[in-house]
Amino acid sequence: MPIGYVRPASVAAASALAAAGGRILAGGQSLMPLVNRGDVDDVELIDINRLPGLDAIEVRAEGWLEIGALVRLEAARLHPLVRSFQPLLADALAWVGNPAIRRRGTLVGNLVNNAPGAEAAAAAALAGARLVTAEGGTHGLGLLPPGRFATAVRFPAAGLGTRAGFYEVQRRFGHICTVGCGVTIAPAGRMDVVFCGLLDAPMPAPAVAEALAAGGGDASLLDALHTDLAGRSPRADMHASADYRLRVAPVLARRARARAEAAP
Amino acid sequence: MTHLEVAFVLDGVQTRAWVEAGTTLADLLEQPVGCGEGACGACTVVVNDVPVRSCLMLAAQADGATVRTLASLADIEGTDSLPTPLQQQFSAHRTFQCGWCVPGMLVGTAAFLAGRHSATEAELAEHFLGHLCRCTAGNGTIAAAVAVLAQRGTRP
Repeated sequence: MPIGYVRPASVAAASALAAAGGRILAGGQSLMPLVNRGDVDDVELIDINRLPGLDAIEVRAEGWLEIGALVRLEAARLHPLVRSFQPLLADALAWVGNPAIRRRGTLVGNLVNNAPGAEAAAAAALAGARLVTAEGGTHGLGLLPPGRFATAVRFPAAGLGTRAGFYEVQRRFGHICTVGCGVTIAPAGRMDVVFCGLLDAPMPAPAVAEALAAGGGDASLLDALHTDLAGRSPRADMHASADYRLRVAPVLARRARARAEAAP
Repeated sequence: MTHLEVAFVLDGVQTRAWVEAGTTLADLLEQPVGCGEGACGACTVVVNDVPVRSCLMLAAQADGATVRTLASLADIEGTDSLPTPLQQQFSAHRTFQCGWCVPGMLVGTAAFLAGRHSATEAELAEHFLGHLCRCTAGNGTIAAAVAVLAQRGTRP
């Protein structure tokens, strides 16, 4: 069955079309490859690119840094409010795809797609970010239930003075992330760590953070990683084995920390 | 099968087409498609002054837009000469090999260089991440871009 295309005139109309089973098309950098491969078919694509009011980045009185559904990855990466309040997100976005992908793909789309290796999702998970839906209420990262349409993502505007660094391995630069690690160092010195690509979803790693802050070597970082994994086995796919992912993670944690410490 | 009417300016010419809803801009414009997922850059065209992967954009989304392809290369580079300075440097640096990546490579690089008089090594490397050449002409393409910038008066 064929693909359909509709360009609604309002957020409410887009929401109604989503409720009728359509898929939201924003930047298309994750959705269109699925269409091209035939993995998404027989569905109405709801093009929201011309809807007004979805391209803002603002700090709200409630203490949220809110980023609209049409804010492109590159615009989010470069925005002063993102760099000030969510520096890990800004550094993580530097690793996403290539400039052409980042200029068209949207942050909200990236977080809805929520691929296992997604750098922005790792930063969002560590920060406790939530998707804001047109229908009211918020939702965790990942594909929304049928009929829901994410109009923005909401981060705590809490990172002022935090230094952050992201580091990852890829099969080649610009390719999807095999394993990535984000490290934040708060002004008072508290360190937090998050990994992507180890499990199917981002994994905050408090034990690794503790070992890293204590200046532990790779052996103690690996022990801490096992604590954080709590018996779960890392992913294995055509890009890397579970064992490779385990062994590279401590190295990435050290490099992400060095990047955080070198951040202004 | 849903068909949609799309009207846009293609390389300076007002253009109208009826397309199936799922038709990509790359298919409508017969651009080379390498990967279909945005990695290779072979299908890059300029839509409203922004380089985009035409394989990741529906033709219907170009309605009302200004679309420029390789046929507009001189326009994107802001030159009257043909071959353009970028084409001349690509030729001098022997980057024309199998040719699959070339249309997107030229269009994307011309858009990257537009208005610039310099580029850092990191900016050049990052730009060419999005334009893959499987014939290993990669270093030549970077050298060609540097040569075009040098001709404009300031070395990167």
